[in-house]
Amino acid sequence: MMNVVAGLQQPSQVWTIKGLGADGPVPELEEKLMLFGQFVGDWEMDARYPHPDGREVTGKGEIHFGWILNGRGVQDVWMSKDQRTGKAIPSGTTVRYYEPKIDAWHSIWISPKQGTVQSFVARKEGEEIVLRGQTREGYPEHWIFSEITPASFRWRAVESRDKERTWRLTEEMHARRIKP
Amino acid sequence: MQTATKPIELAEKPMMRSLETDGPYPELKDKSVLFGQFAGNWQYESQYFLPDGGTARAKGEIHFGWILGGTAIQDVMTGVVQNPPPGFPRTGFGTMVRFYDPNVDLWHCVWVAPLSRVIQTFTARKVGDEIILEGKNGAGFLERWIFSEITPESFQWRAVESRDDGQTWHLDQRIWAVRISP
Repeated sequence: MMNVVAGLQQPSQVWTIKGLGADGPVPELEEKLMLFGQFVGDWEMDARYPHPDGREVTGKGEIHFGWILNGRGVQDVWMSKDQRTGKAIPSGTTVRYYEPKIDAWHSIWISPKQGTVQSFVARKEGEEIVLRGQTREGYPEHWIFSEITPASFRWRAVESRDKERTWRLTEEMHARRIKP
Repeated sequence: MQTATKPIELAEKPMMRSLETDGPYPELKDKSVLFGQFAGNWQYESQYFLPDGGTARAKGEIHFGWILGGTAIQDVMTGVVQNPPPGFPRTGFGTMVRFYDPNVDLWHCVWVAPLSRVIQTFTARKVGDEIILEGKNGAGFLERWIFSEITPESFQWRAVESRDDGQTWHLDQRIWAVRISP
C-alpha cells in the first residue's frame, strides 16, 4: 500500500535533475532520517519579522521538502509570496543530510536572493529541532522547528548578541501542510 | 477568468515549479551562462592521484539543472571507483549548489557529499578559458576545482591542493566529461 504514512513516499520524478530525488529514506537510517523526513511534502506559511523597534513585517510563502541523494538527505525550497502579484518567489534552498558520526544533521542554507550560504548543525532537543549556526555578522543564531504535527509546525529564528545570554526573535513562521 | 496577476500555476507541481526551472533568471542571463552552459547530462571518467603515489579510476555521471527560478544551478554527481585502495570510498556521490552574487561578481558554490562526509564552500570565477573554484578543504588547505577545455559537448576538470599557501599545487583528481544529452 502506498502512503501508509502521509508524506513518507514521494515520487522521485518530482525533481527533474536526474539522480537528485529519492523515493524515501535509506532503510538503515530511516529512524534518524525521519527527523526532517517528516516534513517531506508541500507547505504554506504565514511569516512575521519583528524589528527591534517594535515594528513588524508580515508575509506569506510556501515551503517544499523532498528526499534527495538516494534518501540520505532532505532538501527544501522556501518561497515568499509577492504581496502585490501573489507570485511565489524562491528565496533559497536547504541541503541537509544526517551524519551518523556526530548523530546530527548538517544543514546548509543557500539563498541567491540574500546572497548567503549558512551552515548549521541540527539535532532534536526535547520536542523541538534546533539548528545551530551563526548570522552573517558572526552572532550565534538558532533556527527552531517546534509544535510539530503531521499537518503543521512552527519555525522561528533567534539570534544572540550578548554571548547567548539573551535571544531575540527575528523571524517566525506558522506552516500548514498543503497536501500529503 | 484568470487575470494576468493571478498565480494560475499554483496548483501544479509546486516543487518542480519552485525548485527547478528551464533556464536562467533573465536579469542574470549573461552571468549565469558561466555554469549554465553545463545544464544537461554528462558522463565522465576520472582518475585520482593518491598521496602514496598510487591512482584510482572512477566512472560516473553528472547532471546539472537550474533551480530557484533560474537564480542557481545544482548538479548531482554519482560515480563508482573501479579499483579503490583500502579505506578509499567505493562510490562517489554528492551535489553542488551554485549561485552568482552580483555584489562581489563571483559565484558561491557549496559541495555536499554525505558518503565522504564533506561539505565544502568555494567561490568561483572565470580566469582566461578556465573556471576556477577556490576554497579550503577539511584539513584547512587551499583547494581549487578547475573546469577547462570547455566545449558544448565536453569539458575537463581537475582538483588541486596546496599545502604551502598557493606556492605549489598537487593534482588530486582529474575528470574527463562528455555530454550525454541536453
